[in-house]
Amino acid sequence: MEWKDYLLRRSAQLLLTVFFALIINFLIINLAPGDPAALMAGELATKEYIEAVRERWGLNKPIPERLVSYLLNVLQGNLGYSYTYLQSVSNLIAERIPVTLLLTLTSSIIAFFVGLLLAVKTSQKAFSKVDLFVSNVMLTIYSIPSFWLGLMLIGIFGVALRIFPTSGMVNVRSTGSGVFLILDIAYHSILPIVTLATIQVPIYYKIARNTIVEQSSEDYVSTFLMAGMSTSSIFKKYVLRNSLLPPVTVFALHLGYVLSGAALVEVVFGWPGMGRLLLSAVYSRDYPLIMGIYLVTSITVSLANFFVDILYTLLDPRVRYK
Amino acid sequence: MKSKLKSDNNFFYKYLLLWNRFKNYKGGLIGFYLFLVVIFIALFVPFLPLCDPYSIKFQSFLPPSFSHPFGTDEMGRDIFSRVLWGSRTSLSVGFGAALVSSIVGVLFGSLAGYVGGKLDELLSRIIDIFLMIPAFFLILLIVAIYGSSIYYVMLVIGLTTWPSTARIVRAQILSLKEREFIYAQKVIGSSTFRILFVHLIPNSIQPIFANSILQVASAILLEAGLSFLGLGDPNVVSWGKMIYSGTSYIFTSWWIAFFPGIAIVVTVASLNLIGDALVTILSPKTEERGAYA
Amino acid sequence: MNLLELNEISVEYQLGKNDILALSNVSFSMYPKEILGILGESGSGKSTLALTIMRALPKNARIIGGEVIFNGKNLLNLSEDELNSIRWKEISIIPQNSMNSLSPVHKIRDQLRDILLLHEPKLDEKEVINIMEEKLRLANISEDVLDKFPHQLSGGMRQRILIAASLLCNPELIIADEPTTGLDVVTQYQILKELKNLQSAKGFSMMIISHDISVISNTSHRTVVMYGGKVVEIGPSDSVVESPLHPYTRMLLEVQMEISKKTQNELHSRTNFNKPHKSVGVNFAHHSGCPFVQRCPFATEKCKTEAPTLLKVNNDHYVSCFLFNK
Repeated sequence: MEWKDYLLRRSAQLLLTVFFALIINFLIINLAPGDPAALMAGELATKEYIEAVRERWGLNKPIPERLVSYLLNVLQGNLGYSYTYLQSVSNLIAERIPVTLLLTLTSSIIAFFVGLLLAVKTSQKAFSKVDLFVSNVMLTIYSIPSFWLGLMLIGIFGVALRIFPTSGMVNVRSTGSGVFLILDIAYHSILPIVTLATIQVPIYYKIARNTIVEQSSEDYVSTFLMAGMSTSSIFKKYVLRNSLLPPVTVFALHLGYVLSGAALVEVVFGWPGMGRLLLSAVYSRDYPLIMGIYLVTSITVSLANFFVDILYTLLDPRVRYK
Repeated sequence: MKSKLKSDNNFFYKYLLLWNRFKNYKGGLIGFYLFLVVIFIALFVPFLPLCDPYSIKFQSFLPPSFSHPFGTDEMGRDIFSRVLWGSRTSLSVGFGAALVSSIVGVLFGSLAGYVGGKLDELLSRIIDIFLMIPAFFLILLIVAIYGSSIYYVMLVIGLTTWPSTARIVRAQILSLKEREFIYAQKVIGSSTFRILFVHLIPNSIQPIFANSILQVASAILLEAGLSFLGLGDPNVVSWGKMIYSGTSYIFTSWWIAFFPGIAIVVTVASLNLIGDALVTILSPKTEERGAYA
Repeated sequence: MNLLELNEISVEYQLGKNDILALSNVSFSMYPKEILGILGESGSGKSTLALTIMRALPKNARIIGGEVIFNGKNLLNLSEDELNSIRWKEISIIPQNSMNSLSPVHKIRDQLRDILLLHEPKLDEKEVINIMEEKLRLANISEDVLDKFPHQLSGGMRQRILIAASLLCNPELIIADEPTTGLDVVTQYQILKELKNLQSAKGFSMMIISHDISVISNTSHRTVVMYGGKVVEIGPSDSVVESPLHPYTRMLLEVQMEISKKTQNELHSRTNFNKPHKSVGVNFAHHSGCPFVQRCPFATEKCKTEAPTLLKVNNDHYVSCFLFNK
């Protein structure tokens, strides 16, 4: 059965990627100048603590054994201990990741639809002045750093116009819960989501527009034209359906980019997600934390790619029925 | 991005043809002229009549005015000159990273494409894996541990972005190596080295040219993000860092964060516009439609 | 009355700075219940012909002259609505078969249904299915294909589905554009046989367009030979194949079929096979003179400047060449 083979192969690739990310993590720490145990223990560590870390992670043993103990630790969910937050890295990340995912997923979905709609509008007149103009505008938007855009939006809407809150996920002074909490979060999330969505729209726009233009010159379009179908019917029923798949795959492809944008946007808006965690980790050189974040994002992206690939095989009949 | 083509005539002619076609792409043209301005600034900034970018002798938080077109920052430095000086950082990181990425990419891509077989499979797997790993976080990690000098940043960005170049080169080599002129070279006994470096690689440069320009753009954005988080080279003026310091003062002195951001957008957008136009020109399928002309 | 009459049809493509004359003063007729073969190589204008009759030319093409008279009505003067009532119900087309002639992500059933309902919107689902199944049977293909996707079917099956689609509204004229491309020889033979049987059983007229002389000679009653956008010879297929008149037809036949020794010798002594063959279409922007002049072994100065017109040579056999003017 072809599909099962594909599933197996794809899963193997997933595991390989995760393994690769782990190896990179391991190599980076161990090949760094200086004592890996000191790195992991942190800059303020005492001699005894460093030794304890060395024991815990087997850093006094030869490299192959170190690798094994590292892998074993990770498999048990132990990603190290953050000396700045005084919590285990896995706990910290688990607390923050929902926030980042919330921002990422909502903004991606919004960007997908906005990009698609715009593409539908402009591709009807492909290569016209409007089409070219929009493409160039999209390229420019794609060139805007996410953190700067967020900052500017805060400046305009938060400070000058005072419509939206300027930072935070919730209003620190309020103590509402339930529906009010959700509304409060929603209110605070408008600017960050708009920022992230804006950055992504060019990506979805480009793939949607190019696919639609490509599909419009496919043979089946001329078959239906000759059969007397109107161009708008052909577009709505056939071209669109044929153009939906590539944008879906693009999501997984760009997830790494979007996550980094999300991290930066969180920093600007003061949201308690992975971004802020990352910022403080970098600032205080909390290596276990940085490593943990890198690992988790790698795994997330690989998983997302995996699921999208599987989803694709379910959606595209050319792959499904063989 | 430096080619090893045989005669100068050939070289010049090819680029003339390219320019003729490029002229028709309005977006690309705008990008090109914008970029010329940026390059000019980056190259000649030491000779321009500007304030010292490091000098803190001016009053802090001055809004934009005639004497300080972009105002002054929290330490009293003139932002206009800092923005202009920052172009050097961004452009050098951008081009440096793209250069590293191209060299490594060409190496691995041509090896994979030419040698084929198991090596190709292995390298392709590595490329696929690399493409999935979020570069930003990896670069963060490496720079945080190993150091943040500007050369380091260039190197690391290049070493994490080579896979896309490699892919393109590999595809080119694969399609070229079956052609007659390569076969002819083999028949007359040219060494593998010669075939690769004199014939195959120079002919594969064209498609990666467009891709490299886009990589410069994304490298500049990456560097901005890095220095925004505090990981850039502390000794140079960096737009990302300027934006970071402007973050706290967005309520009162918006200009501190505003102008460096504009600089980034202008630089990166100009590169993206050029790169996108080139991609359209150099990829046969899209150019066929010819409707740009 | 003739079923279809083309009178001095000229079609031009505008490609930026260059205009290409794809069809130049093309005239011929089709009778009811006949199979007419259009023979020509790529660049001869045969596909443009099909698109012109179907009024489905791309946006950069212009009809610069002539009429297309179908059952007494000039198709070029009709409005979109009037055309829609003719399309598929009176004239339909079997498009050139390729991987993507049908949408890859829709089932065959949905695509055929869409085409059918376009022209017979009042049908209920049951009638739709009946008609689809009937036409699939006529095209000699099982009804199972309705639930399949195009990529699951072989080239021959896809061709038959396109044939079934063309039959959906029982048209009077069916244009078959290269009905055998990409098929293996055995399937080609089967499809052609089935097309011929269908035509004689159902009584519609068929225009078969092909570059392959054996396809044309095996199916058509009459043949129109095209070169460089012009008609160079028309006649009963037997006549055209056994005694080809135009130098191009003769050359084509020598290459593709056996002809009498005498004509072969004559051709050999006069033919310069070393003459470089320039690509046909591009040279024809408002070209005067005979389109074949660069490859013709009998070309004279006159051929370069004056264009020959169709002359009756035999009963029904016409040719467009100065060799026959005396």
